Amino acid sequence: MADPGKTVVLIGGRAHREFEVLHDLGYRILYLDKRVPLHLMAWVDVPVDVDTDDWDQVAEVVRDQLDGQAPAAVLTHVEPRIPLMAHLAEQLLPVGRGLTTSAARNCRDKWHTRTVLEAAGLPVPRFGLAEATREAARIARDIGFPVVVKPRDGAGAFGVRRCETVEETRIAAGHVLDEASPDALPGVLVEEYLDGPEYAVQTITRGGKTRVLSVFRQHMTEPPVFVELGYDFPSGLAEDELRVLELLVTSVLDELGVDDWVSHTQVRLCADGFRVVEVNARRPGGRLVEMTGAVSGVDMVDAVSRLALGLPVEEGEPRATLARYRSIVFEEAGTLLYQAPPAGAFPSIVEVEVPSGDQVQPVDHPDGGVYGRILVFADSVEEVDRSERRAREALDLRVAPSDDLTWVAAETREFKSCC
Amino acid sequence: MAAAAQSVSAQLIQLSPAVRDSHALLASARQDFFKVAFDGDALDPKTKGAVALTAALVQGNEETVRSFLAIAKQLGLNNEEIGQVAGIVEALKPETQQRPAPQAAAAAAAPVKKASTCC
Repeated sequence: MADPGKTVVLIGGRAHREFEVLHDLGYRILYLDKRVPLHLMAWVDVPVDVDTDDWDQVAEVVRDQLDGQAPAAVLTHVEPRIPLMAHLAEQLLPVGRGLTTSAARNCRDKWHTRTVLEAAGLPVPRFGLAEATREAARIARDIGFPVVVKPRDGAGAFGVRRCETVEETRIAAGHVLDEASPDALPGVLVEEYLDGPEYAVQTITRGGKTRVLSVFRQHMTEPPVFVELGYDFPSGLAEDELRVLELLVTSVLDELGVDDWVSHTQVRLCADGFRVVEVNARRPGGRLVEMTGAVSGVDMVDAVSRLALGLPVEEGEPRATLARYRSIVFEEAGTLLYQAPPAGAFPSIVEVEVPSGDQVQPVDHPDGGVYGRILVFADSVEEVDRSERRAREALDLRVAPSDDLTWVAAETREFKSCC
Repeated sequence: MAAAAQSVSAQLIQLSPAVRDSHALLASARQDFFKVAFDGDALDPKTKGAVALTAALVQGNEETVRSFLAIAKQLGLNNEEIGQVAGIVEALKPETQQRPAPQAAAAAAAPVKKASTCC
């Protein structure tokens, strides 16, 4: 491969922006994934199918493609691939840069995160690690109900469940243990349920100094499952609360060893103060990158790419003082009908992830959840309300109940009589 | 390269041991032939990548195209070169040869038939 020194090894990822940023910076992309999708081939310079669970094989592929020379950087935005990224960067780059392997592990392994932070006296929920359902039940009894059961290394809210009883804990723990992939970290976390509003905190840390880019008030469904319903900026926290939160997150990232990198941290504000729920050493998912960019002037995808490359981070001006993110969810099952708005119709982000005519499920259904999002930016509450209202009116989202119909796919076109 | 899924006939062959064994020999011979064809050095690597991609596009199987598109890029083809390869494949497709330019222009000028309103 030509010019290894101008090549970034990018592991996984499907968002076009993640590729575009690297090309805009003048770098070529050596892209690795278990199966590189066809549509993505045009976005990369050299795509290679490789088992990303086999770190030795990945390293061998990179050395082979780059003729043994060092790449410019190793990067991933995909949560499960962060430890591999840190490992490869340490193996292949002549100078240490970005997230270290120990920081990657500290953030990826939630049990380890809690252990490290608890030892440092930083506020986390009471927790325990179980290898079997009986042990999970014991830990839950020791902590006191309600508890939350979650995978040790899950991303988002997958597998996360609030449990009120021993039986619910056993069932939830059983699901996590039985459905764990072969490369998942062993065990299941059982921890105290934190009652209080949740906040998403996005940061950038350079040379040991952390800057909070955005704090969003997070809205979730009622337990037992946790579906993200939306985010608000400003968060509604008072100035002194924001300062306390900033100090806490700075201490947390310092303790976990996160430096020259970005993070997306989730905390809850309980009666006794903030407690850390999760620390992710990556940019946030969904469209929170755009939301952070609008209110802080920093594009986190661009920022982390530059950090990985050892380049200075660019900081622009915020373009809004308010932002509202609302997930598109439904209360009932049925056929979704809506009007697709023309591209560029709104100065905001409006996305529906399924075509009109598809079946949808309620938000709390195992196959339901989020079907899209509306994200609006403005400088006044009235403008935000107006923008969201216009977007919803234009979409005209409706769910036609399908109680009286049994949906069956036709096996032939025999009964279609036209032309 | 990802292994392609077996065809239905290749799966049904397993029902007859003699046919299955002979097919296994054929599969092995095809792999050897593939290696000889690909490893030959009459063509430089990039040209080989372009030719293999062309064959995959003509064949039309999406997984085969995916695999050889990756190989083409690994051998140095860029997007523009791949686009030209695909353009040549498309230009030489039989349907295109049956519609020379003057007839295509006449068809374009004819009144548009309204879509059926049935169903």
